Amino acid sequence: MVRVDDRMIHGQVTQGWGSVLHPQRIVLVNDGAAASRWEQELYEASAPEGMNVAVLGVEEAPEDIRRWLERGEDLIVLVESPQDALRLYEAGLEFEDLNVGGVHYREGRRRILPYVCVDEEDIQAFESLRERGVRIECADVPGSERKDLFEWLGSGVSGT
Amino acid sequence: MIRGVVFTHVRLGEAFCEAVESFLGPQDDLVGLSNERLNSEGMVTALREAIGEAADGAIVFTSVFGGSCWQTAERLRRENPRVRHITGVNLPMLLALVNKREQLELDALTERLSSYGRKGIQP
Repeated sequence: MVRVDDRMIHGQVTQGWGSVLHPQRIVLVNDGAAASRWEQELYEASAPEGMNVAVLGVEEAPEDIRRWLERGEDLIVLVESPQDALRLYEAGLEFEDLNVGGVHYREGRRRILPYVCVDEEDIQAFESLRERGVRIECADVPGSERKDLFEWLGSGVSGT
Repeated sequence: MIRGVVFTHVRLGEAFCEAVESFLGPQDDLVGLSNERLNSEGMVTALREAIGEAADGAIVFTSVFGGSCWQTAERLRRENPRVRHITGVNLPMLLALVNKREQLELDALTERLSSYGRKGIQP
């Protein structure tokens, strides 16, 4: 699973999705976190026992992720923002599905779900991914109603 | 006075504080805070505000080791030398905070609350 979540590694991921997907590894793809030893240790400590955590920069991530997938590992790949999801795709990780699990409010964003708020830049990043054939589905936790992001957005935003 | 901030999910933090007040009466410097609808950055801002000046220090209580509130509290602990952090909050721990915070300094209090909290868990 590739997931956009601006809380990155947290309970919904490790407990919620972790208990359903049983990943061997959580891969946080985030340039800021990858650049800081302290941040890396924080995220490594935040995973339950037996679950590996890798913190990688966007450019280096596709190669490592492909290697783990070839080995047969189940992964949860996390990015902080729609923009990082697009960057990861363009860096060479051509995923087919994207889970949107948390894009929280900040000024200028409008709310489309309790856990998804978007502005024009976010919509553009999602549009670019959709044009490449990525299915983009909103679901914060495993049991929540699943729906295509663009259905939530309505019809008025296409063509951006 | 050493400030207590119970930072957790949905309405749990507030409810913990209400429960403490139901035992011990109204309290200053004890606040509940929720991470609802906040991203990582928003959580840092909200927690920083809830801690405030904390001239005598503050202890942040969280529920889930490794969770988003825990990460945020670790960030604030790193940023502010007067902040301590205990995860695994329970009611005995918070009652002890109110009862002991006038008598103990910040590190000793943190240690004491952590051991009280553990004593509150029994098979």
